[in-house]
Amino acid sequence: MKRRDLLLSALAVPLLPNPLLAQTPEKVRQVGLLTPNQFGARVFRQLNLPELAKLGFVEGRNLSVQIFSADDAYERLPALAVDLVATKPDVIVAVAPTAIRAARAATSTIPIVMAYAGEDPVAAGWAQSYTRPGGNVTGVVLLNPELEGKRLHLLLDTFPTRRRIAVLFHSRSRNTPTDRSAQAIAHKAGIAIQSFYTSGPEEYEATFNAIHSSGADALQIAGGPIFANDAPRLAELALKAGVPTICEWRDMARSGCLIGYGVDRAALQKRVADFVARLLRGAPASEMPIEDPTTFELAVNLRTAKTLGIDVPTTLLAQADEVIE
Amino acid sequence: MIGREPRLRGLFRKYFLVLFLAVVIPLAANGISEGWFSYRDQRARLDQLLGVEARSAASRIQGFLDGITGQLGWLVQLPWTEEPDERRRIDALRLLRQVPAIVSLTLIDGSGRERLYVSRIGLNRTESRTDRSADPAVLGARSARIWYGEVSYYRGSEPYLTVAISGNRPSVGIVVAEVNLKLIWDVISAIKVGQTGYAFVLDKPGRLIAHPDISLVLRGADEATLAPFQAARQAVGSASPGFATSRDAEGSPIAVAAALIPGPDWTVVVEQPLSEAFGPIYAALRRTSALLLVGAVIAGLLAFALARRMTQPIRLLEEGTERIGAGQFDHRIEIRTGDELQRLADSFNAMAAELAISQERQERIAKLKRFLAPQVAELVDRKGDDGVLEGRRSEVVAVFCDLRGFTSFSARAAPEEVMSVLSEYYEALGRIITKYGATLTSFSGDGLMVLVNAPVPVAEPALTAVDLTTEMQDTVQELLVGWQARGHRIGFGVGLAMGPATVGRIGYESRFDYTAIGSVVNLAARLCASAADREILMDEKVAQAIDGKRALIPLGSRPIKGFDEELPVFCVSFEGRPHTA
Repeated sequence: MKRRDLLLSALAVPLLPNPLLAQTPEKVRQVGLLTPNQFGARVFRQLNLPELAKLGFVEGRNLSVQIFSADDAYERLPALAVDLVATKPDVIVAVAPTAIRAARAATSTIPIVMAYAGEDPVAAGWAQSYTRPGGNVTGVVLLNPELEGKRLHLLLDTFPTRRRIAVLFHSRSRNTPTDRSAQAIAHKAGIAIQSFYTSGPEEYEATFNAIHSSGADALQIAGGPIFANDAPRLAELALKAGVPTICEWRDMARSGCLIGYGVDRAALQKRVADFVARLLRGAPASEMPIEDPTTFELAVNLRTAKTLGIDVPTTLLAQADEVIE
Repeated sequence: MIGREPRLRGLFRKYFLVLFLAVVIPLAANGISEGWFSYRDQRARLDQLLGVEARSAASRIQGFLDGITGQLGWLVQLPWTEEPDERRRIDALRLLRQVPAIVSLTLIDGSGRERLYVSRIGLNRTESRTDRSADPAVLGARSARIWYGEVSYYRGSEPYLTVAISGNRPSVGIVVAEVNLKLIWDVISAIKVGQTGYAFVLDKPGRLIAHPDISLVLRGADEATLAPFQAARQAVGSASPGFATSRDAEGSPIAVAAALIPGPDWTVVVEQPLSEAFGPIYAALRRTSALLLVGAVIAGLLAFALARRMTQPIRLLEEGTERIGAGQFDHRIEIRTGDELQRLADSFNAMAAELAISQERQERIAKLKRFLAPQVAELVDRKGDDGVLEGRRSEVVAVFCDLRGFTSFSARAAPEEVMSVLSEYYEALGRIITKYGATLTSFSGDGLMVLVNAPVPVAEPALTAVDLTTEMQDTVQELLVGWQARGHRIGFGVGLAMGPATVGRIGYESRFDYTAIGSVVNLAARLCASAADREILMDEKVAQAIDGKRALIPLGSRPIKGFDEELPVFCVSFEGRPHTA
């Protein structure tokens, strides 16, 4: 070898491309998603996976996702949680309190990210405090009792003349803090609300018939993954019943609900992804403060208003992040 | 050879060290000073950089707050009336829509009553008319126009700030806003100091308000979590202006700088890992040491090569002088360095040549000494010209002498005895020959031939020759007394003749003799042969030359072998002591 060639090759050594190093097999981290229905799975795929990819966890490369959905059969969740734990995932993402409760029962070691807790995790016994959960459960809470009240108040504010308000709950929510919060607010506002409980899609028709025949002039659909999943169907039934409806999420207004007011889901899922990423990197769940939502969204569907023949006050439109016309 | 090696190594080492140090010391001095100055420059630059980063971070946080207060200003422009103000309610709701960080707004009229409360989560209130005039926010805003409350933590976790603003006159009232400080995260996480450095915000009591890792903020008043941040602020507070060093939560050293946000009295602290902040310094130091190392290696090689180059001629010189010293005068020292060393070698070579010539001369002198009187030989040599020895015709006196009865003595006597006799004989004669400046041309056994007036002419050759022979006879006779006492019957006779002869060197290679050829030589030899013990016979020519100066006894004409006629022969009257025998 000529001296010059030797020199050139010596210079070339530090410039060797890094793919050689990058090709060392990367450990594939497993995330298990426990959700009452496909809605949680869709949200996770649409919003969480891109965020996780940004944080360095790419599905198919160093991340594998297993989805355990109960498909609205809530009673299956505990068994699914046990199955999920048996696959030994690195992190479990649990959608809604029912799934969180089931996952918590199945494992006290694998970190569980609440995505999201509709009720107070400290009161539920999943965490010792918000600042230091102390166990294997952390994540995002939804402030649902407060927001349920806020939605009822918003409905009253928008339609001050409609005072016979029906509230649709999932039958599992009976007597939960959310249920009680709505009742308390109604009491404070000096109106009576009528709670309707439904256990699933097959009962929707009957329930809406009951609402209609009860003479309700406005409807609040309480929070919960089952209603988020069935938003178009519920909106259609509400329209048929001829009542203006307020729902949990902005995108439920897109599906036909008159008003959607709630947490900014994209921002929330970003936080969920951040939790997952931090846990995958080995941070302890017990030291990870539970977070409240930060930003909120309001959407108004004027098409629905038009169909119902209702005037939407400009006050509401002024506040809306999205107006569907 | 054995003695020379360590000496040579010593010289090489000396040269090597001197040359090496001559390069390395300035190189090292340069490297060290460069390292030191670049360290100082980098520190100054870091001082500036972190200071700028801290101020810029502070102004961004200030900008976040200003954005909120600026919007709040819209709500305190028109005076309140006793009537419910629907317009203002819409404005407040619009403001909530516009500024996501505001969680709730409380509007208070000029007399300190709450007129409106709107919230994102809580329930809105209108015209509650609760007296809020004693609220710190109301009191603060009245005295300072913009009032920042202390940061409160919802459930000990989520940080909120209360901001109150009053208008340009009391009747426009006051707006109190609750701000979710988690939204500063967007601002704080966008601040990057270098590659991995970041900023965080502490309030006056030292609680974390903003940090790129939101979970640290949400951990609330946790002493262990807050300690490193408070320590960093403490460190930078005591080392103003410029940056200070502290340790982060992992205990790694960091460089920190801080800037104050005057309104809420917060401190923005920017930090950068010291390893990264000083990265350029370390890089410069690494570069300098690498250069130093390369320089030292090059200097070493250079010094080695130069020292070799310098010691090689010296070694050649040494070897050459040794060989010359050993007598190899034809050896030449080959040095073509074109400097003093070459001159030295050349002069050594010249010296060797001189030595060779000198030695040759010495040899020649030694050779001449064999047949010339030493003083003559040296004269010849000094002249550097042995032309005097060239063949020529010259008037010479040839002298022959030998011992009588020596042959029979040598046959009888022991060899030691013979050699002892001869040695005494020649010693005595040699002294006399030298004394008279005569030239011994040849000897064999007991006989010898001496020339006078050749090759070096003398004033009176005949007289010199006669005196020479007289002294010879005298001396030998004394010796003979001793020998005869030991029972040896030996005598001594001399013959001399004067006349022209051809004189010069004869012989081959280094075996040269000086001799004379001519009848005068034959005559002298014959006269010697016919001379009896104690006799000095000479021809007529010699006799004529010394006539009147020395006593002569004419012996009449005698037939001489090899000569046709009888020749007159003379004898010197020999005054020696009478024969004792």
